[in-house]
Amino acid sequence: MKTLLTATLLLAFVATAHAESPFAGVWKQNRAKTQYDANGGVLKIEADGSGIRYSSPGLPVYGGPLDGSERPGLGSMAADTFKLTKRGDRGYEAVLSRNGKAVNREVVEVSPDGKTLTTSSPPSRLERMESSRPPCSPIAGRAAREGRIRLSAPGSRTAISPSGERSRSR
Amino acid sequence: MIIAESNGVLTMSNPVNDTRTIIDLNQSTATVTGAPNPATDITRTAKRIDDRSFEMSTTRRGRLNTSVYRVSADGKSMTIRFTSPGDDGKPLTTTSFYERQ
Repeated sequence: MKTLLTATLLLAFVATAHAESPFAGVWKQNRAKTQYDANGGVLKIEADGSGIRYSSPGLPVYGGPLDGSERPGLGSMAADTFKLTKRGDRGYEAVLSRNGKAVNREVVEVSPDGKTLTTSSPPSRLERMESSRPPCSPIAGRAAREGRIRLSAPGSRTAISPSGERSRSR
Repeated sequence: MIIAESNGVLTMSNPVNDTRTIIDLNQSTATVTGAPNPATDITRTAKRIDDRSFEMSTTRRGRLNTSVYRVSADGKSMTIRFTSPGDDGKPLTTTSFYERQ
């Protein structure tokens, strides 16, 4: 009887605690139900003198020549610095630094036909956690992040062609 | 995302970027910890809207972003409505949908 009473009180406490804090819990995003602003995916890259000017929706981010020198960001990003470096004929790398330390690196590349743009950044911590693969080469890691290959079991990899065909090698 | 609450203080842990946001709805303050190199010119405020929703705002160099967290009546889902100013003055809005695990 005493055990039953204790269990009842415990359940009542948990139920009350939950009722007092509707926010508490583990939440997982459902991307299919997430609604993005129609203008939210628009990036603007303009020629600006001998360099470029890059703006995300409503926010000028950085600008300047692709010469590898470090410059302050634009607008609300003015406290940060950006180093823009040309990569081939169709791409560049942007390194964001804050308080003198690099905090993000992004590679921006236009497709050969000029119709699509790919931006890629290092994998997030969660992506690293989900991967059981030991550290791979930077080139393979970059290719995976850019979607050109997909890393799978250790020692093997799956290459994905532009048409979506997959080939696996070990 | 994991949220815990104690006496009006919410702790939101984000496993993606390994940060933790402490939101004190009593003091209307919000702080972020765990970011390896945080921006120091950001101000954050928070306020409770009602029993199932609150708002957190961040301002950096005059640019105001607002996130409204709202839990559904049945407690099973939550939306985060993020609003930021657009180039043309019209706000850009993304509504993220979350399900309780």
